[in-house]
Amino acid sequence: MSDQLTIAGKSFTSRLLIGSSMYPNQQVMLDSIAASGAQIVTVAIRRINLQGQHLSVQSLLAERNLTLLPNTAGCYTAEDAVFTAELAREALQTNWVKLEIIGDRETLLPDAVELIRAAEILVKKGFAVLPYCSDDPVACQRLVDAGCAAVMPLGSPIGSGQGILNLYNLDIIRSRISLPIILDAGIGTASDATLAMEHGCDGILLNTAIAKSNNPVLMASAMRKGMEAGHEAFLAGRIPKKTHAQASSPVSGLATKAHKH
Amino acid sequence: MLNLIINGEKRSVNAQTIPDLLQHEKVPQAHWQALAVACNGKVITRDAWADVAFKDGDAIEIVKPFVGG
Repeated sequence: MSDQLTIAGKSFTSRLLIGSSMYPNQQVMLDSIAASGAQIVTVAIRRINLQGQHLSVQSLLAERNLTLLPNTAGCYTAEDAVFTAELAREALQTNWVKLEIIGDRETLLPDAVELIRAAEILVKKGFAVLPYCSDDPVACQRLVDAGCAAVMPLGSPIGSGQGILNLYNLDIIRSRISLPIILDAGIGTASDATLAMEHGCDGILLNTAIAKSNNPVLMASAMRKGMEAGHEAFLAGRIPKKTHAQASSPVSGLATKAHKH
Repeated sequence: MLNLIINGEKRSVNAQTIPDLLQHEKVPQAHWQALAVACNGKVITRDAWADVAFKDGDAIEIVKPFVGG
């Protein structure tokens, strides 16, 4: 099959990357992942609870043949992110990492300077780096130059559900970058996912829009369909927008009613 | 007994190595495969867990995958 998402040499039939957090319970999480069709699931790396509760999400997801993508969520410096990525590599035996370095506690926007620095270090250490970044074409290009495996610009702030705030930037990023572009963060509903795919994104990473909807399993299904529709529309190529109407029925050959004189 | 900082908490434990410590903390062996351990900021690969002898004051981090976005 040719129409696949390929990142760092690994191909997937689904273009949706899904988060594993904030679902009402574990079963809803698993059912939502299944309904979304996602094959890549993000996880965080955290200290174990020394008072017990050692149940791991890792075995649950791994036995469903899902690819786990550890993140560096919660990191504010390149050093912390590199350390977390190294721990993740050891825990999950994967060199893939969703590189996330926050620069502002209120907006949770990425710190481009730390991100690029960490990406350079991690690429040298053999990681396939998928950076969560701002929708800034220059920052995205710097991450490509650093050797990242994809770029993951935000649509809007994490968990905000505001959709894509800057389609202009997204279009510039798409036109200049041939690496996979995964829209990460800000998706609110299925039409946002459709729009991202219509504008040529290779995939979408989302969590809150599904997990916090009233019916996560149904929303997961909606996201899958919305993405598929958007991707097919992108491949088909939309018509250019025009200012004025253009008749779709033939303009000649219209019957005329005879009038008695 | 060694005074260690385990996941940010000062503790006195009777454990010399990572496997000792995980047993002491009653982490089931079935869950060891998804853990990562660092000593003083350096990740210790699984095959070296038994080789690292803790010293007084060492800072140990024990982590695993959790749900995340």
